This record gives sequence, C-alpha cells and structure tokens, in this order.
Amino acid sequence: MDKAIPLENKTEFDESVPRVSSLKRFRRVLLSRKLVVFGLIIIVTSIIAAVFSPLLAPYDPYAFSLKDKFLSPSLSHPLGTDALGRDVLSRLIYGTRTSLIVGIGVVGIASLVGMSLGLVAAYFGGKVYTMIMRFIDTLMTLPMLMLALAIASLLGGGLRNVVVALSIAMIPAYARMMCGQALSVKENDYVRAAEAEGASNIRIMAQHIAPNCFPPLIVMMTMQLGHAILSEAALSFLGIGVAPPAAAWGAMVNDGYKYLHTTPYLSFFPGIAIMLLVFAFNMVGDGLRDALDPRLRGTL
Amino acid sequence: MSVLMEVKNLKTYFNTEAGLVKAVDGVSYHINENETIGIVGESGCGKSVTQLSTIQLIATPPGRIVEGGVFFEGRDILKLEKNGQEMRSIRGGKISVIFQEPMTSLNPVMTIGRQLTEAIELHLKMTKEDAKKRAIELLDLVGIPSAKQRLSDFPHQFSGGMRQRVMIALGLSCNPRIIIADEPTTALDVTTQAQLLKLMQDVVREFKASLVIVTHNLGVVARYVERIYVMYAGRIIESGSCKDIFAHPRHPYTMGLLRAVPRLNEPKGKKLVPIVGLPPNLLNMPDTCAFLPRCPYAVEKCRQIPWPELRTLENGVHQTACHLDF
Amino acid sequence: MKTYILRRLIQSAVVVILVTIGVFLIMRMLPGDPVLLYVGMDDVNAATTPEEIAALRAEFGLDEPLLKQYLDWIKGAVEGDLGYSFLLETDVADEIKNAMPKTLLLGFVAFSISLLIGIPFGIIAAVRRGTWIDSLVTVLANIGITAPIFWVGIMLIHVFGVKLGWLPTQGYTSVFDDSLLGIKKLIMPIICLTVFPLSGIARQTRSAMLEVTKQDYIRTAWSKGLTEFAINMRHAFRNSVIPVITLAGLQIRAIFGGQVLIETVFNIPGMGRLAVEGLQNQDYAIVQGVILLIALLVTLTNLLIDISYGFIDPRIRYS
Repeated sequence: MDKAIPLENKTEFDESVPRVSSLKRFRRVLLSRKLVVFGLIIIVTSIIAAVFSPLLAPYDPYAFSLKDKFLSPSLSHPLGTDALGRDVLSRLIYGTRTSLIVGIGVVGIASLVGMSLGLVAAYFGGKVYTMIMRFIDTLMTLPMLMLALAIASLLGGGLRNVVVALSIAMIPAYARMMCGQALSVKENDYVRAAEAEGASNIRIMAQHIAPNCFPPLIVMMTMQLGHAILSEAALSFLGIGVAPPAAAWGAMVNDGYKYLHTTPYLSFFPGIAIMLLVFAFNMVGDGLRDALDPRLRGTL
Repeated sequence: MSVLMEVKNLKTYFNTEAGLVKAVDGVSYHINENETIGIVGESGCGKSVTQLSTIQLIATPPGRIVEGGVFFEGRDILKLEKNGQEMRSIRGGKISVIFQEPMTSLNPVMTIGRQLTEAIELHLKMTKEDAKKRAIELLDLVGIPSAKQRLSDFPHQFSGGMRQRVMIALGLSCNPRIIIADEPTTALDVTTQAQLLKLMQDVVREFKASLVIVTHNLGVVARYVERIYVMYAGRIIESGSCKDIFAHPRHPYTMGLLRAVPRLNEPKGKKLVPIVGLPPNLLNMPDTCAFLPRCPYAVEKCRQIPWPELRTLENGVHQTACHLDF
Repeated sequence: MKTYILRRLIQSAVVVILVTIGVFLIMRMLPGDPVLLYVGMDDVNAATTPEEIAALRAEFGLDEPLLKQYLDWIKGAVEGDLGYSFLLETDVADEIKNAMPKTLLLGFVAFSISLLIGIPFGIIAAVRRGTWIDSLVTVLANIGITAPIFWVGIMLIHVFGVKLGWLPTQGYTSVFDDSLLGIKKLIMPIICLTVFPLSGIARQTRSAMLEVTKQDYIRTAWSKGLTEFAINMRHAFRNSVIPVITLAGLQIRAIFGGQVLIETVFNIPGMGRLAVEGLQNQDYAIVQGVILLIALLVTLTNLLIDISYGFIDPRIRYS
C-alpha cells in the first residue's frame, strides 16, 4: 500500500485504477498501519486519563506522606512513591492533564495566529509579506526552547504563561508553512475567478485559499502536538511551568534526578510517559499524512 | 528484412491498493531491422508498460513481469538479471527510450552536457573529451543552435521543444539498435510535433536503427510507420501494415479510432464519430472481449465466447482479435 | 547569483537589527530591578536611600531614554562590550568568552555526527525500502525524535555513570588540560545532543530520496543503463540535498536549544546554562548577551545555508 510507482507511466496507470471512495480510503490507509493504531490507542487512553484523573488515580496526587517516601514499585503503589511519599502513578495520571492542555492550547493558539499571518503575507504580498516574514525570521533566530524560556520568564511561570510562551515560539513554523501553501494555492484559476467576480479579500482568503491549504497543516498540527508536549516537559524540567505541587511530567523527571542514585525509576516513568504520548502524536500525524493525500508522503 | 526483436506473450501485472491490474496481458509483436512501427492505443491500454517491460524498466514492486520473453540478439533478455551488467549494457546502449515528458525527464541539477556524456562514456567507452565532442555533434544533429555553449546549460534554460530535442539526442547517443519513443511529441505544439517526428525519422535512418513510436494518436504516426499494432486493455487487438490498418481496419475499435480522426480526403461535412463509453477498468476484467461494452457491432455470440485470440487474415500479415468479418 | 546573495545579506542584516531591538526590549521588560538586586545583595544591612539608588541607576546608564540605552548597548556590543553582570560581578563578554567554546564544541561535534550518520542511513533506508534495515532505521528515527533529551541524559548517567561507572557524569574538562577525562566527559552530552538531529536528518533524507526516486528524470537515468549506485548518488541524492540541508539548518538551532537542557543536566558551564541561570537570577545582562550571540550564530548559519542552495540548485542560481 505504501509503494512508489517510479518507473510507471503515471497518467496511464492512474486511469486504470478505479477511484475508491475517499472516506473509505482515508480510513483504510489510516488504520492499515499498526503503529498508527497504536498511536490512536495511546492518545485515546491519555485523553481518558486526563478527563477522569480523579476516578482513575489510586491516590491523591498531592497528598504527602513522609513515612511512605521512596517506596519501590509494589502492588499498592505500582510505580512507587516520590520523595514526599506521593504516589507516582497518580501523579503521572494527573500529569496527562498538563501535557494535553499545553499541547492543545499551544497548537490551537500558534496555528491560529501563525496561519493567519502566513495567509495574509502570501495573499497581499509586497510590503506586507516582507514585514510579516522578517518578523517571523526574527522569531526564528532563537532556538524554540530558548525563546519560550525567555518569554515564560518574562511573563513569570504558571501553566497559562507556558502556553503563551510556547505558542509564540511555535508561530513561525505555521506561518511559513501556511505562507508557502497559500502562495501556490493563490495561483489557481478559481482564486482568479473569485477576484474577477469582485469578492472581498477576506472572503477570498477564508473561502477560496485557506481550505485548500489545510491538508499539510493538519498533519503538521498533529505532529506539533507532540512537539509542544515535549517542549513543555523541557520547560517544566528547567523549573518553569505549572506551579510546584501540580503534576507535570518534565518536573517529575527533574525531581527524580535528585535521587537518581537511590531511586532511578522516579525519573524513568515520567520520561517514558512523555515519549509514548509524543510518539503517538507523531505516528498519527504520519498516518494522517498518508491518508489525507498520498502526494504529501515524504514532504513533511 | 530480418527480425531484430521479438516479444512473445508478455504479461506485466501491477499490485495496487485496489487489486491486481493486468496492465499487459499476453502481448506479442516484433520489430524488423531498419523499421519503424507504431504502437497505438488510448491512455491506460498498457502500451507504455509493454515497452518499458522489454528492457525491464518496471519498478518492482508494484509491477511484475509475470510471463513472456523478449528475444533480442539471439537471447531472451527478460531472463537477464534486472539491474545486472548485461541488462544495463542493453539498456541505453542497444535499446534506448525517449520519454514523453520533456519538462520532467531531464535531471534539473545536472548540465545537459553531463547528462549526455554520462551515457556515452558508459556505453561507448569514450574519454571525457571524446564524449563531449560527440555530445556536441548530437546536439547539432537534433538542431540545437550553438550546441557547444549550451552543453553547460541546465534543463530549465531550455524550452519544451528544445528539451525534447535533447531527449532525442540522448536516445541516439550510444548508437542503439532500437529506439523506443514513448509519446515523443504529446506535450508539444503541432508544428514542433511534425518537425520532431521528421527529425526522428531522418536520424533513425542515418543511424540504421529501428524505431518504435508509442502514441495515442493514429494520425501522428500514419506518415512515419511501416506497421501498426493497436492495443486495447492490455492486449494487441489488431496489427498490420500501415495500409492494412488505414484502408481496411478489421477490428471495431480500430474502425472507431479512424472515424475519430479527421482526414483531408473525405467529403466535406462528414462528421467525426467518437467512440462511446470509457476505456475499461483493468481490475476485474470479464473473460469476454474488453471492447464489447463499447462496440457498435456487438452480436449475441460476442457475449458467449471468450475474448478472441488474434487471427491472421487473407494477406498473411494483417491480424485482428475480432471474430466478425467486416 | 550575486543579486541572490546580496538580497539574502540584506535580509539577514534586517533580521539582526530586529533581533537586537527585540532582545533589548524584552530584557528591559523582564521582572526584577537589577539595581535593587545589586543593592540588596551587596549591602544587605545598609539602608539604601533613594538617592543612592538613583546614583547607581545613573552609573549603569539605566536612567537614559530607551533609544539612547539601546544605541549605547549596540555600540558597546560592536566593540565587544556586552555589559556588566551585577550578580556574577564580571563582564558579560568575559563570561561568554568562557562559555562559548564549550557550547560550540559540543554543538559542532553533535551536528557533524548527525550528518555523517543520519544521511547515509537515510539513503540506505530509502534505497532498501521495505526491508528490515528500512524498518529499523525508521523506527529508531521515530523514537529518536520523540525522546526527551534531558531524560535520555539522566538515563545515560544512571547506566554508564552510576551503575557501570564507566563515564564521569558532571562538568567539563578541556581536552587540552586532560584529554582522556575531557573526552570521557563529552561522550554522554554529545550522545544526547545527537539523538534528535540525527533522527530528524535520517528521516528527512529518507523521505526526500523516496520523493525524488519517483521523478521522471530518475526513470531516464535508469533507461541509460547506469548502475543503481550511480543513479542513487549522482542523480537521486543530489536532488534530495536541498530539503536535507534545510532541515540541517533547523537542527543547528535545535541543538542550541538542546544545550540549554543538556548543559543543565551534565552541569557544563556553557552558554545554555548561562542563559538558564541568568533567567532564573534575573541577570538580564547575561541573558541579553547570550541570546544576542546565539541569534547571530543562527542567522549566520541560515545565511550560509541559503547561499549553499544557490550552488546546489541551478534554478535558484539563475533566477
């Protein structure tokens, strides 16, 4: 299903293959790869864990119990307890909330702002294009993590500020992608036709250009969910993020690092959780790319 | 006239998402020395795949040459290892291909000169300088002005027609015995088409090579080819000399193709008749004649017998895959 | 080509100016008054009068109008004076001079390894598509781009430092002072910094190669009777280079970002840790300097990459 047809006369070949209904094809391609299904399962599980944290967590994730500190994994505490005697599994379950909120929030804001900037730059061209793109270039001169770190420090920690900081840091990727897409879509005859009919700029952008730019951007958003979660983990590892008692996976890795010599699993489990969730989003993104449009294969 | 290459019962199938596509399903034909033949058919009939199969240029997967033989210089070249040394010396050296997309068939980051000399050095064992000289001669031959300067140019600096000339030069570069021209002029305007076909005919004669013109346009090849094979749904359904095909077509599909071509010698006001319906879907082909659903002459018997094999007609050369006599 | 380079030079210059303005403004907006911090640390018991604070402000040039402060800062920066850190009580330029070689060494080695391993493996995976080696490369690369590198670092420390005791886990020693120890201390940080770019480059090379091998001109190359190796290297790879280089450019940036984490985990006194500590301590002179230099480095590499496009792709060169 995933094979190229390099030496075949493409036009001839395409016509001899019947059109399979696109929704059916979408579903089949998406679900045909085990890793994509695996990713979907992880994502659904995480969402359930985040929504029903209080029901699923065996313990209160904030309850200290100094006599229970550093318990090894056991039946009553499957992943052990941390330096304050809090149940690691419960904290991991609550941590899905932080990760998903940050992931969704960041991708939502960054894609909205970034795509709008890219669309406007591509549509109007000229000075507008230059101004927006130089601004984007400027944001891109700093490593994403460093930029987010600086902005989060400026705003002063906390979940909301982390979301804002990461959003700003991720805007350039969307703006550039959207700009590239819109520049090529803009050349299509139906856009020219809409212009000739005297449609307003906003209408042309929203109705004729934007919808035709989406497929690669949807793939990118899925992948960036993983990236945002990874970056949030990095920020909370550095001590910038949700306020201390709340659970964040990156901060849990850092907490564990202090006791690496005695209880290495304190760092181990949250790291695995981060990897699984990020991996899941990447795999689903890969699958979406192949399912949405086979021509996009290999372009992201 | 001796036979230069003979293709016997060639079958090439493709595994696709939707199922097995029998793109070429039992095709046999031959090319004589110093001959030009035409392979004619609609898009998707398997004519290009047939040609690429003969020099094992089918990507596997998804494609697979299932059966058949291609006899060239006394041996079955389908039995050679696909990318082995022997097959490679035939590919480009003895049998070359001129592809149909001049805009995309040349490497965009390599100079025209290098793309020519690369093959010349390989097959003719020439030094770099000699290969370069030959490349200049070839570009001259195909009518590219100031060939020497243009050697260091890149494909995007050439127009479509010029690029197709470069492709022709490439096809000729190693003195091949057979040149396969796959829709060589489709992407070009009519004047350029005629020029390039004439050019090909001339150079092929000069080089004493044989030419296979693959096209969907009967009108294009009429003046240049000696024999014609008409393909439909992965098979040859009629073959014969150019005269046989144009004067007495014996298969309803060929008749339809001819009625769809405007001719100068016909009375004014005669209407062109399109062939109704769509080319067949190569998945789940019925056993009966593939042209049946579109055939204006279909009779009850057509629905009862399997797709007829080619049968030879009175003159001993003309063949048709229709059981009816016209 | 000349106009192309010139245009890119101007664009880079504009970006550099925008970066300096941005950095300057953001750092002025950061919370915390450096003078109060300075006073509070230096002289806890002495009641500092507002007059004294004002005098200090004037001394540090903080009472000037913003534009003047900015221009002074730029003028200083050009002359190699990046300001004074109240907290570290040193010149920022000196701090950075100490930190920069460590960061550049780590980054350069990690980047080189990523290219040297990532590109060949990407090519092999594409050429041997669907085989076990393709699956292995793809799976490893997919895991590599998801691994939190600070966690990878901690796990490496646990295994090779704590359990096996093979490698030192903290700090930095110059290879000129003690070659063996210096190299040993570099191994784990470099592995961590390599994981992400290596995986990304391998993935990008693979997909670019797969895309290119579908093109008509590759079919032409096959029809010439070239060897598979010649087709893959001379024709396919040269056409796949641009997306790979584009990604490699982004990876340079990502490596600098990763150093913020890795220098923290391994306690290496480089630019990354300098930036983190500067932000934590609201020592904005340091942060300003570090960010400025990194932005300049990134802009420079971007410029070099864009110019390299012109050499690789004639369509860009002649446009």
